[in-house]
Amino acid sequence: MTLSCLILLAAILRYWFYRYQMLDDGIQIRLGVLFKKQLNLKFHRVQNVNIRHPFYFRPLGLVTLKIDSAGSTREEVNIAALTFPEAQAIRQTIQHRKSQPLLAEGESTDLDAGAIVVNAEGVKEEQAFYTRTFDDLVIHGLTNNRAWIIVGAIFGFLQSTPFSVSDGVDLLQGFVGSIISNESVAFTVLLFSIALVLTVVITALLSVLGSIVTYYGFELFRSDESLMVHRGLFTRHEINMQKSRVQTIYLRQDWLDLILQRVNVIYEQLSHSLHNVEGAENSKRILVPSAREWERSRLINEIFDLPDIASLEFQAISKWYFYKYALIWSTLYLLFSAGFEVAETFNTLLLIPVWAVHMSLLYMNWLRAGLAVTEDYVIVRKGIIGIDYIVFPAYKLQAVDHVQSLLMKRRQLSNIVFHTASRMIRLPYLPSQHVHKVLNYCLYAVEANDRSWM
Amino acid sequence: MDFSNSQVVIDALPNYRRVDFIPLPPRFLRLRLGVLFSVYAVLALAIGGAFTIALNFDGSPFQALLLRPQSVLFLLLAVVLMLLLALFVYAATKAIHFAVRDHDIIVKSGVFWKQEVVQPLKRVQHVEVTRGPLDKRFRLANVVLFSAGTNLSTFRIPGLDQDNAEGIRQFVLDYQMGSQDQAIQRDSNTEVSSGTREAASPDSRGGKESPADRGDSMAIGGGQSAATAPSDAATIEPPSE
Repeated sequence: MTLSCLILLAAILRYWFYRYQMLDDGIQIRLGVLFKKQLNLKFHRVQNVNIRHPFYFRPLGLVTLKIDSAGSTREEVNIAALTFPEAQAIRQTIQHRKSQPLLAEGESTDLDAGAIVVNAEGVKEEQAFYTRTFDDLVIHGLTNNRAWIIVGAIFGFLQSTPFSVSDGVDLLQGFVGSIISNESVAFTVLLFSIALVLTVVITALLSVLGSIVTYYGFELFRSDESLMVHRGLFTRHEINMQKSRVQTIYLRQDWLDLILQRVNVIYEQLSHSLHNVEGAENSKRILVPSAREWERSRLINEIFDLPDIASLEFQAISKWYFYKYALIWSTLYLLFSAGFEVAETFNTLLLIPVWAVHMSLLYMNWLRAGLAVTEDYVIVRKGIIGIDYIVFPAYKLQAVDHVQSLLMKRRQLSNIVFHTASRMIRLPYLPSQHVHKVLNYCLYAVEANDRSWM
Repeated sequence: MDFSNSQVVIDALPNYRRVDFIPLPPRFLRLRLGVLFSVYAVLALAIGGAFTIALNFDGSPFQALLLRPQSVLFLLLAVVLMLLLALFVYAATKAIHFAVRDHDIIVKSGVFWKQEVVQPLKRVQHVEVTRGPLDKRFRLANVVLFSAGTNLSTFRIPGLDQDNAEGIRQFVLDYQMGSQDQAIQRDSNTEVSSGTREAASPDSRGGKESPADRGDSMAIGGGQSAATAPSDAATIEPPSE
């Protein structure tokens, strides 16, 4: 009782001491009850302004405004419980000021703000540029594992109840133990296979559920300057991304996607994390779930102006790449089978199909890898079964590497590494001659061009 | 209207490999080998001492480890290992070269895996000159360039001559500050790229730099310049093979 009172008091105090203020060149937040904190975020450093409609706010018609900074994650700003028009007004102000850095015209801001409201409404009323139906989301759930979203939510829920997760694990262990002590091998095998099938089915179901919760009502809007996404079943997200800030477009296709002719299109922005995290909650990227393959050009061309990627000529990587890994793995297989032969535990002939599948996967991996360079863009092709593409404008590159081992030098082969602001892209075993040309050209594109990469 | 649209000949583009790479000052090699030897010596003494004490713990008359016959073999192994390590450090240090061009800085390194990293100055977010206590004694410094994106992609030139490092830092700052022309002029004046040890850096601040100062001058995304088409927009054949 006292505890809940304290929590309530803390919440009220936090609310009471939370203040935000729009300045000429930025937004200022003051928060904290005992430890005061003041945060200044300049407009020109703002990366995204997202509006979230959490399900618990929806009956009240309130939203949360989230402002991402190009700097660090510490500078992220969350303003909770705004009304929707308030949040929209803030977003418009930020977007407007951001595109006009400090024009020393304090008086005319009101007038300008009015103009933008009209503009923004123009965007709003426009038809969604791209939408996803319920079926698409089911497909997305099946082809991409989104189960962890649900699992995470369940774990979070379980932790807040007296029934702890470890209790469940204990229960399960006791159950499994009693079965295994039953001795009958056939029975155990049967049980395990049923368990396996069940796991797969449950995971798939959870994944579909996760996909629907995250991407329900997916709508992609466009304006000349930016992209906007609306999505989410319980909590509605409105994510806004300035087109000029898209660093790379990543087309990801898993093996099931290949069969169903689907592709995930991901618009990526500046990212400080080591791996550009897959999480759908990551607001630094916009993921278009399971787009149809033939629509990918439309989605790419919204940001980058290049011809259909399938029509481009890709420079293949050297066959030595395949040979190298085939040799390494085959040796490992031989060693393993020799070991098994000696131990006489296992029919090593069973390893042959496994080896064959592995080799063909390695071969496919070699086949997929390629590099295409057009006038303005670099396109990297990768993948094992599905085909992934990474597209970025050459002038947005941050740095480039050329790497070569002594063996590769003898064969005139090189690895190329592109550092973009959103991810690092490595492509192995290209002809050195080609790599040098590409690097020289990329450096030219960066250095002879005054366009801002942001 | 002053507009040209000439074709870029890929093979005529400046080649990042065809520049005069500059080696690091020899005292950096001496420093590295010195550090290796002293760390190794300390470790050897510590391990040898520990073993000596351990072996004499059973109350037998005190006998240093070196006096035991089998320790000669260990000593030999230790020396061979040290020489191999020293050889590797020697090769790795000798392999580091750098070059400063008008628009970028290149670092070459690696013994078994050769690597060239090119950092265009346009994409540098901020510059740091760092210096450890030993570096100070040897008048050496490291230049670190930060670009956007993952923190892995920091670009570092180790073991530069102190004045040279300051010169490079100033060169990068000038490049960021003003027009490229100025930066290029400065380059030819200060001869950063010529590799002379006494590269003059007129307003060298003696290496004392406050982080706040740095942070202010180079905020991320400061370059919100109106994006206009470059005057030398060019049609370019993709480098096809």
